[in-house]
Parts: sequence; C-alpha cells; structure tokens
Amino acid sequence: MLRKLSLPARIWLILMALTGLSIVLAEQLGLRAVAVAGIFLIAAAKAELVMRHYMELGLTERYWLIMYSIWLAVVTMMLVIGHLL
Amino acid sequence: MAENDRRENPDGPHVGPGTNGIWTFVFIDMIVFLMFFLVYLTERHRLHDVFVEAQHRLTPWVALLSTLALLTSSWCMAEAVHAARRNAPAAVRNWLTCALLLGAFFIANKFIEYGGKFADGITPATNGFFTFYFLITGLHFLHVCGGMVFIGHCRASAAAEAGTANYTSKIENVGLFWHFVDILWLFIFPMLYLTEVL
Amino acid sequence: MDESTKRAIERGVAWTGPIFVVGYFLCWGVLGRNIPPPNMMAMTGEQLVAEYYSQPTVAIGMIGAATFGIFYTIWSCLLAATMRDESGSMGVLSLLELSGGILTGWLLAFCSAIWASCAVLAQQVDADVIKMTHTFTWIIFDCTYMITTMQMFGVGLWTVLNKRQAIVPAWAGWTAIAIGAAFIALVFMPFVTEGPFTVDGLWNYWIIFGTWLFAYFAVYNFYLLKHVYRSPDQQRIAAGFAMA
Repeated sequence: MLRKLSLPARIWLILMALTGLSIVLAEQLGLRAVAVAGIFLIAAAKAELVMRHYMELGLTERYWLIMYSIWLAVVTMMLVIGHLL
Repeated sequence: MAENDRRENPDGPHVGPGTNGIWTFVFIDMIVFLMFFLVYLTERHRLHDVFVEAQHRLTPWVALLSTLALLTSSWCMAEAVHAARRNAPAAVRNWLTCALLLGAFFIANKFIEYGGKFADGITPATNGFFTFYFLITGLHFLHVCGGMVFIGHCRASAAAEAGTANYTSKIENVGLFWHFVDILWLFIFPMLYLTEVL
Repeated sequence: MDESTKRAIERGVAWTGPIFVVGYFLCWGVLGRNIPPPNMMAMTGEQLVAEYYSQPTVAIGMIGAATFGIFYTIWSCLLAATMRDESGSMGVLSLLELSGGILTGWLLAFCSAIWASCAVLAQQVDADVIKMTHTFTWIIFDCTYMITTMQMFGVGLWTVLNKRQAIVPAWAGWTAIAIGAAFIALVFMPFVTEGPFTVDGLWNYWIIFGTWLFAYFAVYNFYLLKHVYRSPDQQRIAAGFAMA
C-alpha cells in the first residue's frame, strides 16, 4: 500500500513519525544530553528530507547542494552544542 | 526566464527546480536566521535560568499542531508542483487549496498562542527569552504570511496558466520558498518549545 | 563635458567609498571610541561622562566623522547614476537608493557633530544633560534605520530585477535586501539595557554593522570600482543598455 503513495506522501509519513519521536525524546529529561541532541538531530533529519525530496535539492546545481548541506550541518551543530554547554 | 538573466549561469540556463534567484534569496534568508539562532544561543547561555523558566510558560502542544500543519502544507505544495509539471490544473488548485488551509491554520494557531501570551501579561519586554520568542516567531510568521500570498496567487492563476513553462517555474519558486519556511520552523519548534518540556 | 572627463570624475567619486570606510572607521570608531559604543541605557550620566567622554580623542574623532560621513552620500550619488534601466533612464529604485544615501550620509555626519558637542561640553554641563543628548542622538542614529533600509532595498531590487545588467551579481542584491530587512531589530535598542539588542549588543552592533560593512558596502564598492574602470563600450554592455 505504501508503494502506491506518491513520494511526497511517503516522505510526509516519515516526517510525521520523526516529529512524534522528537516529542517522546523531549519528555525524557532524565537523559538530558541525549534527548536534547536527539531532538535537534531529528529536526536535521526532517529538514534534510524536505530539502532532498520536496525542494529537490539534488536536482539543482551542485554548489547549492553543498551550501545548503553546510547550512544544515552548521545550524544543527550550533543548536546541539549551544544547548549542551 | 533564466535564459534572459545573463548573470546566473553564463554557460547555460539554471538546472533543476525554480530559478537561481530563489535559491539565492532563500539561502541568504537562511543565513539571517542562522545568525538569529546564534544570538539566541549566546543569550540563553548568559541568562540560562531566565530562559529555562520562561520556556516552561510556553505551550508546546499548540506549537506541535503548528508543526504538523506546516509539514502537511509542505507535502501539499510538493504535490501541487508535481501536478503543475504534468499539466493538471484542477489537481494544482486542489493541492494549493489544502496548502493554504493548513497555512491559515498555522496563522490562526499563532494568533491564539500570542493572544494567550498577552493575556498572561507576557510581551517582548518581559525578559530576554520572550524578546527572542516574539522576534523569531514573529519574523517566521511574516514569512508564512508572505508565502500564503504567493501560494494564493499561484492558485488563482492555475486555471489560466498551468501547463506553461512560466507557471511551472513560478510554482516551483513558490514551493521552494514554502519549504524553506517549513524548514525554519523545524528548528524553531525544538529550539523554543521542546528543550524544556516537562 | 567630454567622455574622458566624465570617466575621470566617476573614477574619482568611486574612491569616496573606500575613503569613507577608512575615514569613518578611524574617526568615529577608533578616535571616537565606538568599537563598541558605551551602553548608555545602562549607565548614569556621571558614568557616561567619566568613562566615555573623559577620553580626549572623542571630540576630534567625531568632528572628523562629521566630515567623512558625507563621503557616503557622494558615493551613493555615483551608485544612483549607475543604476539605470535598459533604456538608460534612472527610475524609482535609483531614487530610493539616492534618497537613502543622502539621508544616511547626513545622519552619519549630523549625529557625529552632536556627539562632538557632547564631548566638548562634557565637563561644563550637567552630566544628565550630556546623557540625554548622547542618548537622543543614538536613538536617532539607530532607530531611523529605515533610511538605510530604503537605500538597500532600492539598490538590491534593482540588482535582482534588472536582468540585463551585469555590473553587480544577483546574490549581492539579495544580500543587500536581507541586511536592510535585518535592521528592524534596531527598534528594540531604546528599551533594553542588556543583551544582544543594546546599542553595543551582539546583534544591534556587531552583526548589523558588520554585515552592512562587509557583506553590502564592501561588495558594492568592489563592483562599482570595477565598473568605472571599464571602457565606455564595456560599461554600456555591463549596464544592459539597449545599444543604439
């Protein structure tokens, strides 16, 4: 049944699942460092899915793929490190 | 459109969805928000206790609904672009209608959220956290409103123009902008709402 | 006026951009002790006079800045003259840029002159009067940011929308627009005493002024200088004028 769904629809299901996972992690404050890092890594994974499959970043010039990927990596690292310091 | 722009790619037209201009504009806008996030983090480090206490006054479930709405709206936008490419104007209009309705839900949710804050006496001047809260979510909100205007324009012109190269380029550009707005929220949501959930 | 004279004037005027940067940085920034400025919203008048206006170079620096500030306007005139459409005419975007350049240059000079008067009178006038004048001037300096936003939107939109011109790349135009829009955070300056939105804060001073200088002004200076040293025919082609 999943194969009958369009690619955007399948990506949407994954995005929903990842959002749910981030909520579960957010409530696990006992493992704070892991939870905080996990929340932002999940956000990065979702953003990567949106960039790759909705924005179709892979189909444009290579330098855009590089620059957007760098932005994603920098923002994620910044947020993880900034919250763990 | 890209062929007339002598600066964008001297060796030939831009490849891939949208125009080089929108990729450039979106990237620069992303840099601006990256700088806002950086300043937020430095301030959070300086006023840690103030920020933590203030974050407990937020309503993550309201923001979660906003997240779900924006993600779903992004999906609808992606479907609309695909429909435009296969010259299906009715499908384009339907998907864009869904994207608009979900965007309107996000906007309504934002008004409810802000209204609740103001009712509790919380304003941008309350403390450092709430200055950022209103600034970052406010700027993002303006982007959402702008995106809604562009989506509305695409929906209104779908019947007459869908199927033309010009329309496809236009809806791709609008789609790219809308997905960028979604990506911003994907980071704003955990940064403001999730890191201090009880 | 013959073409060679016109070119010589343009080339001379183009250098007012770098002269402005060096002159204003040295006078307002270094001599005027504004790297960064004192956070007057968190200081008493006595503190402001004792810690800032006691420095002997402030008055000289500010008078120098009042001179160099207008170099910004001169440069903006050349930029406006360069911003023409395909028919070779200046339009509303050029006028927005010019208006913004005139007002910004005036502000840079005018505010510096007021701070110079504060420095000269600091030991003769009540400290609270000095603080009031100093603060009033900074609020004008920061909170009339729209004059520069208008200029940056004008030149940015021309850069992006005039597809035929190849003087300035599109990314520079988008950057100008983004930085111009980011100035909006300056509205917080009068209301905060600490944090990134104070007059010397990470956002309202370092990021805003830093990106304005390096990502906008330096970039447009580079491309304008490059343009004025082209031959007349190369200039017409780069400007995207319809050839006769």
